[in-house]
Amino acid sequence: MKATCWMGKKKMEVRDVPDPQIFNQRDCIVKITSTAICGSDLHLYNAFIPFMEPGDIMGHEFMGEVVDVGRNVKNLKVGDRVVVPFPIACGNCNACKAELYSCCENSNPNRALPEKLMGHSPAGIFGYSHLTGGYAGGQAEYARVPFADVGPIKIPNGLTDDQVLFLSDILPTGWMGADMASIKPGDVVAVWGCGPVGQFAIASAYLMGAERVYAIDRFPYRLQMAREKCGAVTINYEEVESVVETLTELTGGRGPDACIDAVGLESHSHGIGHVMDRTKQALKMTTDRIAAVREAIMACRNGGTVSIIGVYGGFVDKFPLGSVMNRSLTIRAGQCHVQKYMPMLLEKIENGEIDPSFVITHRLPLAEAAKGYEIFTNKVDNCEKVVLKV
Amino acid sequence: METATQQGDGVGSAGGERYLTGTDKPIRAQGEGGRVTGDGVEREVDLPRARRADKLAQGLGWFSIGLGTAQILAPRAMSRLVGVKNADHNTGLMRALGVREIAAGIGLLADPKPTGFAVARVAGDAMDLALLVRTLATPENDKGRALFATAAVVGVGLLDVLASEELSTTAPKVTHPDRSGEALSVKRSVTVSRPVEEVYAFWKDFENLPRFMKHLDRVENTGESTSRWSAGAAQGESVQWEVQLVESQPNRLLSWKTIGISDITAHGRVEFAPAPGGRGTEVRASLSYQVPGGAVGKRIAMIFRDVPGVKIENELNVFKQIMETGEEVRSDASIHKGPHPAQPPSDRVNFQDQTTA
Ligand SMILES: NC(=O)c1ccc[n+]([C@@H]2O[C@H](COP(=O)([O-])OP(=O)(O)OC[C@H]3O[C@@H](n4cnc5c(N)ncnc54)[C@H](O)[C@@H]3O)[C@@H](O)[C@H]2O)c1
Ligand SMILES: [Zn+2]
Ligand SMILES: [Zn+2]
Repeated sequence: MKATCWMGKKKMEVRDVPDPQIFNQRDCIVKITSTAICGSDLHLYNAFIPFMEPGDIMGHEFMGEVVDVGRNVKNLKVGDRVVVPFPIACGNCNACKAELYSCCENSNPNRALPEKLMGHSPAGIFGYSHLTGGYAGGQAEYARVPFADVGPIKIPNGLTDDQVLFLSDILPTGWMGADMASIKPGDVVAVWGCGPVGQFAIASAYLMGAERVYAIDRFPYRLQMAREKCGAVTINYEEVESVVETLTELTGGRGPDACIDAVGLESHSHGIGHVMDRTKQALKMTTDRIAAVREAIMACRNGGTVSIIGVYGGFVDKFPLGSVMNRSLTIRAGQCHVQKYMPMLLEKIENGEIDPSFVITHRLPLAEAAKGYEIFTNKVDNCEKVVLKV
Repeated sequence: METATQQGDGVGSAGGERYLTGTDKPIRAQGEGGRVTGDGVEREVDLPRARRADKLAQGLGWFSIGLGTAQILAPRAMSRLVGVKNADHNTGLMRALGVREIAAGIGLLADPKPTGFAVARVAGDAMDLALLVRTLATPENDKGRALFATAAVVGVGLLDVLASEELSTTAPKVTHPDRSGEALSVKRSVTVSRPVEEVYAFWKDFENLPRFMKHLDRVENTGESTSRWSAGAAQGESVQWEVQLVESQPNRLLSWKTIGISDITAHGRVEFAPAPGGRGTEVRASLSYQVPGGAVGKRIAMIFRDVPGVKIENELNVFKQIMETGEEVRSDASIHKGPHPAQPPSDRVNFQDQTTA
């Protein structure tokens, strides 16, 4: 089959690779129809997540048709149309029982690696380095899906791929960003990053009753989408002296009740700070650039919540812990527990409450995956989200 | 970097008598092994490793204090050393950096578990580095010197990263295999979300062990409390040994050891306890193998270290996977020995449990 392979930093190639096989009796094989490139993939593309091997098959946002099932998969049959959640989760361990699917204790066969780096291991993830299991991903013609009796969700006829594909990751992720912020009616929320994840966080915050949502980014076309499609009040951080001061001003001196980081470890910032962060990251003295998280913490009102859905990988520098502690902030974070949110969000799509397809700006054939990565990472051609059609 | 290493050795051996323990209570060294009973549970602590990490942290601590003192007392000389021409204007900054260094150094020496401070040092280095980068960008400064100093700070930075790494991997839950050549011991605990009776019963039947102890080929029960174990077929070095069940307390404890004459001396012990809050069963297992010296021993030792796709430390995880999910969990990369891209295998693979499950 054809699959998008990571061949090194900023090198993606669509190559011929062997077809997937059933390894476990709870596996299924999916023939992929649509798959997307995620901001998380960019962290691998730009080589900020360690433990990649040349030849790794990329992709964790995918859907398609079931073409084979293991003996113990009773809920799916060949021909079913499914969306696959990006965290691989067994459904049996204590984490899964607590609906913390992205912390599944059984799905990462390489647990020893993250245990060294993080203390304990998170779940396995499709196409997301050997740190999270070394699973082949879904930017390909076919994929093997472990724990098919727990993860994939069946899609009723009448909904298009574009409407439901993002149930695999970014829609539940944006939702969880808002969910972790415990938004109450009347709350003021600020969201850093107007990528697809940020857009869905803004939309979700409004659905949960936020009165006003501020959105922060520097790309005018992304800010425009946040305003027009999600109803945010936007701040271009390149046009203001200080984002924290601007937010303080806009909230009458209080600061937002909840601050959501939808930027991640490649956070961009200005001047000496950015040079410093980039240099340290290049020299491996910090693994992540956290400019957006620093701002989110400093801006948040006393007693407020900072919700982190941008991906971070390791150890960071100049983390304002004093601000968190002295001002009674709550920090919540996580890879999305997609399985927990999928049925509820599918229902919202079915009854027309949400149509997540508005973020798609580019549809390319799988063969042009490399081009997709290039335009998405460089934010050119007004690119918001790339979907690959197989 | 040179200095740091030298000071690390000197100071570490003089003051390096604090060790990381299971309960975080500092204890003193007693020979090469230590135990804690703070929470009522005895645990082995990997002392040599803890000591190495501690020494490194202490070395860094003194290096920080030394550097900081120099920055405070001789800011001009330090400025010149890093290649900043306009030394007079930079004395305040240098002194500030010095205070930061000393704070980090004291933290490293005083904290019984100095991971946090070691990380602070990494952050501190980054601050220096940013300033050095600025120095490099100013034409009137001596680039050669600044480059040299950047290299030195980067060196210290790497050392810091090493120290924080060492500290974060000294957690006592895994005792790493002893690399001495003759002995291998593994210790690990895991919580299995199944009732203790079920977990105990599965383990008590030793014929189940090869399903998760991937270093074994086969276990055959030969009597009420005896069994024959074999390993190494895949490596072309088949070895067998007889095992006697030494102790069995239902739902609490199993222990076994080798009997008769064999190339291998093995001990195993596994404890079972209900996990608090109805979370299933806590399993604490330790395995150890001793093999003879010489070439034969080396080859036998390889059997236990070099199992395709599985590190022996991981076997308890596989036990948990089988108990909770019914099977060993596999990824495209994990089924291979050594690094392999996350790509399906080119041959058809058939796992034993696919036909027996
Ligand atoms: N937690 C999860 O489960 C999960 C799931 C999917 C994605 N993610 C992560 O979410 C993040 C965003 O994903 P995406 O697909 O939207 O990516 P994206 O690259 O499209 O969006 C990131 C946006 O952040 C903006 N940005 C950069 N620095 C900023 C700053 N200092 N302040 C404000 N905005 C800034 C960029 O301009 C860009 O528009 C990534 O880190 C991704 O890995 C997490
Ligand atoms: Zn994603
Ligand atoms: Zn699980």
